[in-house]
Amino acid sequence: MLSPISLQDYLILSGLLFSIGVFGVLTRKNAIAVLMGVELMLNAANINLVAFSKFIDRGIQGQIFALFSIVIAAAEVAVALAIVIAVYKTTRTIDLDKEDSMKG
Amino acid sequence: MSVTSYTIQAVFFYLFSAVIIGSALMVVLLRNIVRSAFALFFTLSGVAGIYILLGADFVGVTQVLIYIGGVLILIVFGVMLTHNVYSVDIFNKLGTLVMGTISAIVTFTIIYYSVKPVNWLFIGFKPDLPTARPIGTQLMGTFLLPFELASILLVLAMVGAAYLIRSEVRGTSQAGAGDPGNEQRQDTAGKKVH
Repeated sequence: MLSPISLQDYLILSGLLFSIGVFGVLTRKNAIAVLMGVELMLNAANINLVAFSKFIDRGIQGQIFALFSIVIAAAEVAVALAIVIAVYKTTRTIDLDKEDSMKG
Repeated sequence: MSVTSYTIQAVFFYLFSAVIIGSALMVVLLRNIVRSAFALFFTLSGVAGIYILLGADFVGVTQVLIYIGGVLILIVFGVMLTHNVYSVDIFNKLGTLVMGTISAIVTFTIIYYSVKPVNWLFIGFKPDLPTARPIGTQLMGTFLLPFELASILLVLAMVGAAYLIRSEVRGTSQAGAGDPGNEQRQDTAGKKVH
């Protein structure tokens, strides 16, 4: 017999996912792996929005916010991958430690 | 809702949470980036399950369509097009690893202790009705301006991404074609170098 799932449980799940995303963004060297960490963080934010929509929203505005967030994430990943591939074409690497041509 | 309904919900919540957290850890820890992309598939599927558990059926289906069907495929293509999978050492040095771990733990601690003690206003369980219809009417009503702005944003992102990818390809594919414009372009490029 398990207790009913509360809003806090969803928020803690989303916090865990966000922290894992932070870890991925900070530690990965591959640009696309960093993008995957950003995707994890975006998903954590979306879980928050939908959970609030379920528990303390009288309408479904939280879900609509989550939909807009998904749309913007799709646009973000398209542009980010285009930038990564453009960088790869010029420098032949996506190692973020070697992309230091703008370093002062 | 009855007691068994709560229990089933809790079982599915912990199941999806285990899938999400486990595969997310694989996403950030696996050395092979192709395997990371596959682990991301399970993370996104688990998040879609959480949406459906929360009664957000439309958002869950959108998650499957856009994230799994679109973003993940894009990422896999990105991995393949920049196929230096084994040349890039996945992780930074040990210091970065330690700092990343500390940052993640601090982030989670802040979130945990700011979420846990709050007595959230709880309006009671809502029945899980189909959400596609109210979402559609609200997108065409209250949220019409953001909806149109989102479409403009998508077009801009698409054109921008296509431009970023394309500009380089045109220069290399037409090289040696022998048209005067191309030679002139190469001349100017040479001048820039010198």
